[in-house]
Amino acid sequence: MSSDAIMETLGDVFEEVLGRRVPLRAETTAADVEGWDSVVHVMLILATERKFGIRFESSEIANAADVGEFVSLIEAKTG
Amino acid sequence: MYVPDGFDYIKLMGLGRDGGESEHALRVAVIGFSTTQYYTGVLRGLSTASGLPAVTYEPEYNTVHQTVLDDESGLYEFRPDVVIVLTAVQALRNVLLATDPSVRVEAAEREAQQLLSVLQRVSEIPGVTVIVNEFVVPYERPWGNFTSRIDPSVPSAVRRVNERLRQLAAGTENLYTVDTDHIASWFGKRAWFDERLWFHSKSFCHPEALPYVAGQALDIVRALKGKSLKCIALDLDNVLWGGTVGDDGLEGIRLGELGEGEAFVQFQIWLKELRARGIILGVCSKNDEMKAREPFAKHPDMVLAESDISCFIANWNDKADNLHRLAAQLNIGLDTIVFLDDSPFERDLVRNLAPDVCVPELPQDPAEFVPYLEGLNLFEAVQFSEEDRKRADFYRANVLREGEQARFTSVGEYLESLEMEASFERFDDLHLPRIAQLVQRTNQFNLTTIRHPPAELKEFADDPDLFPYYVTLSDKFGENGLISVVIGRRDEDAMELITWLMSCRVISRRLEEFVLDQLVEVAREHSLGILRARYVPTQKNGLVARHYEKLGFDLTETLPDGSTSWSLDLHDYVVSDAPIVRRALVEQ
Repeated sequence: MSSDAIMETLGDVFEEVLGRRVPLRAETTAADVEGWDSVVHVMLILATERKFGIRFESSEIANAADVGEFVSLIEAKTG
Repeated sequence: MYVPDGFDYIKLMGLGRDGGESEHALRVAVIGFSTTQYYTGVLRGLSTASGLPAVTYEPEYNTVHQTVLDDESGLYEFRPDVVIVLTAVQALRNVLLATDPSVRVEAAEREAQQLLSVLQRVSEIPGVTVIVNEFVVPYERPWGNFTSRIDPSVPSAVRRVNERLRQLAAGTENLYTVDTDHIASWFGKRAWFDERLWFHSKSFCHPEALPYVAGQALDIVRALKGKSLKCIALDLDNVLWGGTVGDDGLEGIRLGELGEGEAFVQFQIWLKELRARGIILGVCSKNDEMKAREPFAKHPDMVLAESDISCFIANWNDKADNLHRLAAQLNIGLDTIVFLDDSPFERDLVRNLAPDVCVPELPQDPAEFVPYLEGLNLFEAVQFSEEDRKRADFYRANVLREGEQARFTSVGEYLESLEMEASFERFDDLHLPRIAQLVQRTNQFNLTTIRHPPAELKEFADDPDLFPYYVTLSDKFGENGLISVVIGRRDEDAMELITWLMSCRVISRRLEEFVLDQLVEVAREHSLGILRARYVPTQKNGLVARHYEKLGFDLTETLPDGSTSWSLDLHDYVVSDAPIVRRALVEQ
């Protein structure tokens, strides 16, 4: 899966969790998205796992600095 | 509870976020030894989806003791209707593991006592219902299968703490437990215990399981509010047996042999057990009635008999009409019926034309019926009385009575033929559970709809200034059980009726006239010359708006909210000619 395609699908995940479409770019961080608090963060992680059929490790749940890094992580897991 | 497909935890949390506050919303406080936000979000979503909107309060993370011990805390200020206490075995297990195994049993007892004191304190909040999640038995088993035989093992200690919770609940009127260990097992403990989420965000389970956990707390609340499902309306072909009896004939339907036929037998056994616990079974089938009844009478592998079915409707009318008829015949609300049909067309039609009926998506495979329906926890009970055991029979007798009524030309003649006998007795301990149940549940024939808590009803029994009575009724078709409650209070030289309610099962039997006769007699014995009473309108009790007028009371006041006050001078009261004989109560 290309990182563009992942970004696109990730957009759907954000919409599912936040209830609205948010513009995602590689440099987007939690601070840029209204409502992306610690609870929503976990929801995003779990919804992403479900959507892509992958599983994050404990260390990965907290750590992605921005959306770009998150996309790379998914890319590595989906191969 | 049944929630339509697609309402998973993510969707429910979204729904909970958007749910607006409303004046009549249920006030729910969620306190816990874990993060509460995920649970609370899902609970709000379920509340909105099930038409029982809730506003919620959560204290700061893991401040249960501080919140509960501080009389000034936000919890008490919030004035909750419901307090939900979320336990987390992940926290308990570490406390236990930190103690030496030689004193671990005592440590578990100490932890239990701390939790019990929290529960006791919050259950003193006026009018509150407290719901506590039991602990999930942890999966770590240092002794393997031998673990449950080791007293100081954590699973054994946790089971002991759960036992203490259940004991407290059994002795506390307003405390209920959620069998969380069952839910976790059902969901799968391997998936329930997502340790990553406990470490990262102190979530006591994977949020995917939350609709079950929060849903069952709401099921308890709904049951307490009298919003329980009472009746299962069953389609026949491909629901109680495989195939179509009209086409395949008695010999052609699949029932009883190995495979699919056995699944239908098992489903019938499940239904029969629910009937024994007070759930009414009805039939709502598109069929020729003679053909539809034939398997019940003749098929050797049928578990359900015709006598198990309280109301049998088989014809070619549309099912929404038939469900209305079924509700009318049984005198129950459409919102107390769950409709089970294998046809997506019929289910959709009923959802559209009788939207109050609960219509689950019955699986195609009959082997999936029971596990699917059990997963919905449709029939939550908050108490169980002798009355429940007999309920289905009562309703069946009622339908028979109505058949009888058709043979008479006048209602009076019919009522005479019923040979009714009623008892009118002061509250006693034996009947308090049923009295409390009736007080909580009765919506239609209820003049003031005051939900006296059970403890208060118990006090009424011994108060010389109160006249608390219950009424039982029997007739030639059998017992109707304890079906009416009336509570009077001495007010100088008058008796004021603070509560008068009656089960809709026995409506139009002139029982209210009989009850008034008895009340007048009691009042006269106590030299009280006037009966005073009030009618307070609710959304559901329009049926009795003219109750006191019909009984000859004079209207004394009408308030802007529509409530009315009434008075009856006993000086020239004439005893009614209701065809009901008073008899002393005989216990069966």
